[in-house]
Amino acid sequence: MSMEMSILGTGVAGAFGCGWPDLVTAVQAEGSCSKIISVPNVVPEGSLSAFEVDPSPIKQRLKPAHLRRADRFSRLVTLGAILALEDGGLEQFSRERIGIVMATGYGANATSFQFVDSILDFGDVGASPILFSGSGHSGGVSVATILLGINGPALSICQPELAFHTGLATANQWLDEGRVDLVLLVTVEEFCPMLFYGFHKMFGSSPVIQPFEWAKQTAAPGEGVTCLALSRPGLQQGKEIARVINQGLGKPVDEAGLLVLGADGMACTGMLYEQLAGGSPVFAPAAAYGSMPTGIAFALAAALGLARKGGSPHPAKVLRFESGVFQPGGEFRLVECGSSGQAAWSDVRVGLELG
Amino acid sequence: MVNEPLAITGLGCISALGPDVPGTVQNLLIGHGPMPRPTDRIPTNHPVPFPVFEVTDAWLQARELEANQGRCASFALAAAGEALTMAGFGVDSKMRIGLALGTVIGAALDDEDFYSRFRGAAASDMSPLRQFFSSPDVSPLRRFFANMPVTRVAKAFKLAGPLMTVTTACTSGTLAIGQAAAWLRSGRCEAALAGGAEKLSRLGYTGFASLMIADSARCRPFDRTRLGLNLGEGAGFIVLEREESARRRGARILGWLLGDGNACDAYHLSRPDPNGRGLRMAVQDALKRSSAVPTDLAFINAHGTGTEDNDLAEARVFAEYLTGVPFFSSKGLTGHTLGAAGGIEAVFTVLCLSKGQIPPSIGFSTMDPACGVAPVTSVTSIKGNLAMSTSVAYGGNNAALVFARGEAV
Repeated sequence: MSMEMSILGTGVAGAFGCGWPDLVTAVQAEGSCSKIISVPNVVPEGSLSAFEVDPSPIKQRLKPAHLRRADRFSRLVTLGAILALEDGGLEQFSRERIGIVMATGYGANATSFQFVDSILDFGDVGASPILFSGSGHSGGVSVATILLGINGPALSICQPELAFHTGLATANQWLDEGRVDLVLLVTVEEFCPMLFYGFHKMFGSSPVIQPFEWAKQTAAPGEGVTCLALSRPGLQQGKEIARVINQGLGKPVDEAGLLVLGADGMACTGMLYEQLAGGSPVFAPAAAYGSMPTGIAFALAAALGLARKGGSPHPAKVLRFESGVFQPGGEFRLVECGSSGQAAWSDVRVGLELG
Repeated sequence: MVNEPLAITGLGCISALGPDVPGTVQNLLIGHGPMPRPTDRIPTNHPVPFPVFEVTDAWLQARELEANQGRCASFALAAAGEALTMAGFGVDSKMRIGLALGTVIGAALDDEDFYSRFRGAAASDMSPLRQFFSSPDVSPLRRFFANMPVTRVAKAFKLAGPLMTVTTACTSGTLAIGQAAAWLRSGRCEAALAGGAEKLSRLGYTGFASLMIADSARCRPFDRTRLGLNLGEGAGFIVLEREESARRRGARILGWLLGDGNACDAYHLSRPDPNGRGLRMAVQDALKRSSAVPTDLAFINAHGTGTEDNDLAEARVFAEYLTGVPFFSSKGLTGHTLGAAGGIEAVFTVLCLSKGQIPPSIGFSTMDPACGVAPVTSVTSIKGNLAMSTSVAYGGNNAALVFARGEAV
């Protein structure tokens, strides 16, 4: 199987805003994109530091009638997909030749718990069928296929570890087997009160994510969406932003020049990332988007965005970094770790003709 | 692009029909199974108690599975263990074995009691400090993550290959098999365990009741009077590996996976495309990748839930594209096991191919003119060596698998 995939477009929305330029602005700025979110009666202080996304840009792209039954999770998935298609100039791509993979760690829990609310508030016979429709973790990808008219294959992956790289491998397989010509790989995470409660009880919430204080717990919950539009190199449509040139499961055994890590202030993975980093230069921009199971996808989008815009990330988001590293033709290794010790990685080469 | 055929060297299954493959096969082949009934496991104040197909607790206890690992994980462990044992893989296997598992409820935190206590604490007007000490402990959350079926199975059998939890609703188990097959063809692992696991849940029960697609009697797939589905639970897995690996190990090849297809209706969140557009695309792709045509199929193990819309869409595809191929639904024997359905029905398809017969489609008696086709109504000997299993998911995803006969199971 060919390992190489072209990244033709990226779509992102998170606490930093909407679109890769907003993400790059956040990565190049000092500080964090978190804010204090009021969650009365959920955590003792009544509020916590978190990275919240605004999905409303979807309303500028789809008619209200079409969004009527789409919950927030589904809107995020659809927004990410649309942004990636727009970014790549791929809006007219044949819908029968597009596949979509959605990877998430938390899943559609907000809608799921809203469904449980309807049972607790109105009894079994008053349970909401609309909320039930969206409560399965497949609702997001289903809504996206309906709103975008995608007839190719679809897959929903929900697992707390390595969801992004698992989805990336699926995209590679679909392209390799000729099932589709374009894959939209979406990662999505969404808040809900239960998530805040559990996160706070188990991890606390820090005002500033410090990924390079490896063993220290400095995470704060984040939500948002990313999407990569992926194809085989040489596709007639679209311009290559970057190319995934290799992928692997497990800790990489050879050294890479620059590491882009999913380190996000979680102590349970921080020590694993520290071991993997060794003495290599590292980029870990979680202060722009927050701590979440699929945060690695944001790190990739940030790296590609830096290459497209030019310039360097803020010093607090890098370690042992050389300026000008993200540039056309440059390569880096993306590494994702789970608290169980599992890891996955991919090598990415930045496209040569970025503008 | 034609797929490389992959050897099926292990099967594992637990459902209301039986505790394992030997305990299931005879009942399956003659279409003899339990009646669904309301269960104490799902207390409800619904005026109409919907019957379900529940797995007998004694079957899990007989396997000495730990009580605190969650019911869904227990099913997964039981069926996965059977499949791996049948394939000749011990816990200390040196081969890199992957796991692709489909589930719906198994990936959702459905601890209603915990959530209710959380809500109660959150809505109270106690001081924050009192609230903090009275609010529920998060051990249910920790247990949820520890008991995720993929986590439990991978740990129990020391699986070192890729892991995936597929949550694409009712096609999850079928798509998991397709994913595992792709891993093998691309060299990501040397063998793969693939299928699905699911448990009965009050939330799933209440949800399907709210959609008004549950039947208060035994479901009647494809029947003119069908009113909806019955939920079920259980797990089904197959072990896949490349032929060269199976032959080298001297494993019995119980069947072959030839091809798989996956496509979307892009139509409606709670209704399939009435013309079965996505299913037809998935079926066509699965056949193409199997180098097969519809007339090569000995039978179809249909999704056949007993809901009006699903059965109509499926029937139209059978009538227009898979004309004349005998088909049946096994959901009158097991109920709709959601994320596990694709895995359980893959096992059933391999068993039926191996034995050369298919059961009557339990629950069916009268053809629906709108469907235009009818499933088999008696034990039927099959002609041919290929069979298809179809799955249709809530939200419009569709999947199909093509199997070939192997050695006798």
